[in-house]
Amino acid sequence: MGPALQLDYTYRYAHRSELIATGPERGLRLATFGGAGTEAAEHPFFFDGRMRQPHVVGGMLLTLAKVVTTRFWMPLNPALLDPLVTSNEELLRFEGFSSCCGVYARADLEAPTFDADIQGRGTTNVDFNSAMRAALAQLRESDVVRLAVGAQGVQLTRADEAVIEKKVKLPIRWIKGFTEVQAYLPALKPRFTIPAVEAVRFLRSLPRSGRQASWVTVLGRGLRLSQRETKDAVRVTGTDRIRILEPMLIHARELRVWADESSAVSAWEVIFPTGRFSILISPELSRGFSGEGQMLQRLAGNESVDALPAVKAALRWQARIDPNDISARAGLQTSEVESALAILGSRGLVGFDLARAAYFHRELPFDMEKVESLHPRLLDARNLVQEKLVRIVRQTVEGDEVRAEAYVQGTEVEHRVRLQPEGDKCTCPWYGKHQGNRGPCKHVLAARIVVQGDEDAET
Amino acid sequence: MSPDELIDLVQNGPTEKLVAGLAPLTESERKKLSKTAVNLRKELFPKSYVRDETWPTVFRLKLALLGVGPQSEVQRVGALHGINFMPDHLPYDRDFVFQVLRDRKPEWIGQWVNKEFEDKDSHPDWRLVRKLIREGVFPKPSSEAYVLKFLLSANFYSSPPKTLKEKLLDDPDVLDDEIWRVFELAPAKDTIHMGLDVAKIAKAYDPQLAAANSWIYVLRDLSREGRLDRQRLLSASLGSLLRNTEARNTVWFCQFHEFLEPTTEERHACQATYLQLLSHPLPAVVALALDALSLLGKDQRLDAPRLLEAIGPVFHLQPKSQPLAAVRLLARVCGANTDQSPQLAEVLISGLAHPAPPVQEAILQLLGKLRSSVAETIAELLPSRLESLAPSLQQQARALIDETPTESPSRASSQMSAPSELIARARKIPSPWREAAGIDTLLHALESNGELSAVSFDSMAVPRLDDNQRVQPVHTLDELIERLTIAVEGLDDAIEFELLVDGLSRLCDQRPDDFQARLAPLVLRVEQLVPEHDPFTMTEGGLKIALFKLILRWCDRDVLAPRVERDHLLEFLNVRLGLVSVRVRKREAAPLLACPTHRPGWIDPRVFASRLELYQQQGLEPAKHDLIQGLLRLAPDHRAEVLARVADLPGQYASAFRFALGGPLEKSSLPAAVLVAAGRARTPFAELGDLSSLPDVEGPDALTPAVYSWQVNHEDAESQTHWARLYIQPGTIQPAVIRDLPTVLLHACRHYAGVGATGQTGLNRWKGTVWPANLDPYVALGARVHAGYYRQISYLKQRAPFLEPLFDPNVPVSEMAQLHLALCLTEEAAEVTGLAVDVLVELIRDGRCQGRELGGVLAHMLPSGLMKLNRLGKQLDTVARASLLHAHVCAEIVQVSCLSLTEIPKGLHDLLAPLLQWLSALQRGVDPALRPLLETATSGKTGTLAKKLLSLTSSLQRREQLFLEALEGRVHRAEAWASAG
Repeated sequence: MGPALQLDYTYRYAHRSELIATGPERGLRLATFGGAGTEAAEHPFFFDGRMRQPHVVGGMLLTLAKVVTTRFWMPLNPALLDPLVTSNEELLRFEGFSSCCGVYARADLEAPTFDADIQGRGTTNVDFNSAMRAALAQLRESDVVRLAVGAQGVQLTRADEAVIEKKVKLPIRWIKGFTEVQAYLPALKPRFTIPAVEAVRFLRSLPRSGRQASWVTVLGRGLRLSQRETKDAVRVTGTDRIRILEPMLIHARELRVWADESSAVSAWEVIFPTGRFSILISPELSRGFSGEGQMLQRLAGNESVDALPAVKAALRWQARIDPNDISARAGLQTSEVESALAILGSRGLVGFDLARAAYFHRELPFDMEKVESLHPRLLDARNLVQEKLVRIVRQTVEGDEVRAEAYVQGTEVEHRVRLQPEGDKCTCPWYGKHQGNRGPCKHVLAARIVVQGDEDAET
Repeated sequence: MSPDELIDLVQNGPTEKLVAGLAPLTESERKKLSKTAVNLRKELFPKSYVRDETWPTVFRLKLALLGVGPQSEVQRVGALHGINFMPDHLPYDRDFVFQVLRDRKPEWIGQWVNKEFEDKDSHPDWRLVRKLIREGVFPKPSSEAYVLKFLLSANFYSSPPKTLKEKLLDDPDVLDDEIWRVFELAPAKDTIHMGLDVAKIAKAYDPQLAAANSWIYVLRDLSREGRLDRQRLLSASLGSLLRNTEARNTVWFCQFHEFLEPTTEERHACQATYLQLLSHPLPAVVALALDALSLLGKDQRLDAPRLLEAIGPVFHLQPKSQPLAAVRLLARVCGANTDQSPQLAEVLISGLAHPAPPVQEAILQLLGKLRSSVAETIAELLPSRLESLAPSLQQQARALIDETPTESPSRASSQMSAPSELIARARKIPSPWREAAGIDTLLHALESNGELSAVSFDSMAVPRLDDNQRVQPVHTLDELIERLTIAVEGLDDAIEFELLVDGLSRLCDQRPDDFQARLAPLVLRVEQLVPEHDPFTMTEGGLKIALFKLILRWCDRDVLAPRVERDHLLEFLNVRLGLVSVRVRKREAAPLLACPTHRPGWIDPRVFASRLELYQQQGLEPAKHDLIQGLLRLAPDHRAEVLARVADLPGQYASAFRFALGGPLEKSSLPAAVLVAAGRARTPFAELGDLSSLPDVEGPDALTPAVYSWQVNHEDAESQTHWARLYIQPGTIQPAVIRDLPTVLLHACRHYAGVGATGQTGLNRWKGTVWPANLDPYVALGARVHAGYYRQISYLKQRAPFLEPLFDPNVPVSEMAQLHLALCLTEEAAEVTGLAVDVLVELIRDGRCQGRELGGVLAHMLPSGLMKLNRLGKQLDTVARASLLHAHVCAEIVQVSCLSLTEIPKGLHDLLAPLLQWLSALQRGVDPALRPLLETATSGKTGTLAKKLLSLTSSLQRREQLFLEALEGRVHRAEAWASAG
């Protein structure tokens, strides 16, 4: 990966995350760094309280740690990037991405998981190191364990502790993945809900190297992996990615499967008495979410821009953003608010909670403008526009419907692009391979930018 | 030291003088010389140091850089490593490096050293590192990476050669610290110790030397000699197991712990940790803990209340041996103590969540023993677990709570219609569909206590065109270009291939002004994908190769003369497409006669008639090969209606079409191949008596239908290379004679392993569309896929496409289909076995499989020992979970297949274990014909299962539900026929 596709980033934690024993009680101290919140702090403090079911929380965080340290596709040198935690009064959410960017994982720890109120509001990085992961594996049901996310009054330098610096190359695709998944999540629909016992049986029946597409379907009270596409079946590839949930299921209540037929993305949600753990898996094992480009159209165009400032101003670290509420306050249509929220999702400012079917406020602690500017396909498209390599040969507007035909210069030949409400078409090999399933190609993007006008390109 | 002196010393030495010269320099003096050293490095070795003859200079340059260079250059030098792999004659002197670093002691040395340890490819000179640490040049690193490098260092060559033990004793400080830190490691990716540490010794050429280099032996010996605390080693090894949850980092520690042979006293000291390890996710670790606790239990030193608190997670493990061991331990330790019985019962009942029947059975037996003291607990907790219990244990469990067995809701289909409503629906279905679907037979059997039988129907007498399977032809040039753009990137859909050829054939005369511009990207892409000088054949490259050639001809590009296809059926396709390409080049637009109108390859006779009429109107002559293929794809639907419509249709081939539709044979001057195709479209399975006078028409499925027979090859039991031999009569003849007879060519197809398998799935699927009325030759082709000499699993995966036609509920399940299905059920690749399970689920659901037929095929194969019974049992068990009907059919399959056995084969328990559950769920006894065989099994798992099977008795309780499930599938089928017909 070239340097242009990575961001130099330094995690600077005041201490290592660790599990320490103080008498009969154990304390899981998670170190935080950066991000945003209601109170600006380099090392935000969000929460300190006792876990009611430490083995469950330990299992969830351990699985999250496993996801972020795994490269499911070509298992070499995982990037070991730390997860994020978002806090508000209702729950703590830990989010992470696998190194291959094909699995997005989130642990939602609801307030009843703890015996204390959640105080902080904001998003920050949280240190996940190998010693802490090992310690998490040791948590037992009978243990008395406190969880602290950050610590009150922590300064960067302390006399008794060295600052922990982790300099990493943050792959742009890893950050992009956080925004791309927000485009998929709202479209997912619940397909199956099965008891944990059946879920264990199903996960154990999965092949260890199921790289080809298979379909999950109902069998009796449980599920089965079928090799045949049928109505209501959920398509999956890379069954190892689902198997990762198995150790957690022993403490779970049920497993819920969500899917979206058009995108072939599925979400697997393990539901505990208090809290949920979910993973979203990409359509193909070899495809990370970062390369999908579902957000490109939004990044390239300027749809719903008018509503953006008002909706952005309404973000207050809510656990559940109510579009009706914002629309009433801001005098906007609910659809405009929803559209604006989708754009904010593409900019890392909100996430989508499947179980609650609502967006929540969370700000990725990275320079998102830089991330957007480094999107290779968008960059290429803007270059094509700037170099005037897009030729619009036909354009008609009927009501809201825009149709256009353009020729866009490719490597050796001009590609014919047709922009139409039923789906844009191009004659390039990328379109031939993916047919728009992985977002528009650079030729379509370039044609769209020219047809719709693009603020960024003009500046 | 001046810059010139530095350069001279580096280039000419002596090294001692260089080291001595660097020693007194202050840091500012060193900084002044830094640039000189760096420039010298760039000048002498701009790229790499690796040149043997320059080693003395390289070494001195490294020393100079260490002495005066910046951190970045020192990192580049790699001063900490380079010795481990170096032969003795090279002038590396650890002492010189040590002296230079000690004399300089740069402030960044700690950071640099840590970075060296973190680098996976860096192998620091451990002795140098240790010396620097001992002398306080830098503090001992606290990182995990340092300890991992310490372990690695033991593997490196030392001069003189030393054993691991000697190396450790040379540096005794490590026995106080580093050794113990090994037990605290929990690396995310690395392996701490290889599990082979013990196993390799037995195989070693010199076991004694191997033992002296084995960590496990050395640590034990050091503890025996009192150099390492034995109890601490025992605790530390368990601590490591607590920390590590990956198998790669637990095997060695398990072995080590047991290798120390802990005494009861020592184990007692570790009891708390053993109890903690019961919740470890790895079965091997849990097994170690259970064994240890069991020993303590025997000595009555086990803390029973704490055991009860800790043992629950053992029942979450997938294997059954640890949960079974846990039940035994609980029985021994807590069984006799009535004070703990309620807690014990709670633990046991929650353990019933384990899916293995032996575990559940063991738990129920123990609960039975405790029943008198924990009746309340059992009554309270057991009912909620009944649903997840194995059917064979339901009675035993219900007896514990004094409950009369009732129908298990698990087997009842929630979606099934109410019985009376379903029967009423069934009776309403008109003739002949009701009879054809076997509804009358089934209802009669239900009323008269008869047996379920498979649905049997004439596949040419039922509607085959499904509106949901209608294909979408290409309509416009833009659509054609778009679909071709997609197809050139990958094409395994045979119908889409035909539709694209049809699109090219129909739209080849359209040439808008910007035609070349629109086509340019597609042509460029095709030219990129086609090898310029040696274009592939379809056999090598798949269907898209044929498409490439057509596209190039369409765009007036030159195409190299095609090579002859090795596969004769594909050569038939090649000729057919060649004729299309001539028209495409001439821009003579016409529909493809043979283009399917419905999946999986049918042509609606009404559409075929329209195509012929169009040809007639335009004065075009149908191409013979296209016509032959088209005739073979004619669906049985609407034939009488179309026959009336085309009664007066003129044209050379109209009479062949009428003959195919069921009309009289009008003249026999048509090419024999056309007549045979028409005859085979008319009568797929019978002798073509009307055409018996045709010359040069030979082979199976020409005039005489193919007759299949097969036998198992017992000579190669180790592999499935040539598991069986398939005989087809009449035998195939020379390809030159049958080249226009696709029905015969299907029997002449061969599978090509290895090179050229690209696009094979698409080609195989296309072969399945050649003669949809009779898929036996196609499925038999699938059964002939074998691993050849390559034994490639990927090649065996090619069996999957040959299963696909069986999903069509109107395709009869012939013996060839059963044979292929049986082979696929025991295949290794999940893609194949999974699809075979899918097929069997559907076959049972729609009534085409009732078990006895497939069981009969398996009965031929079982005695050969070629079948993997564990795989067969596992796949059938999955199928059986679909419904009670599926369980019934699977029980039939297994029982019939076992009837051929004269002795108990190895692994029969893999079939008998699920059979016990299915029969229990069905409340049925074992087939009387199977009893003699079962009675011969008296020992082992098979013996136990046989005994249980023989004790089963039959009841009629589930019979109605079973028949209603079967009726549901038949009603569904008959209603579909009635609405289409």
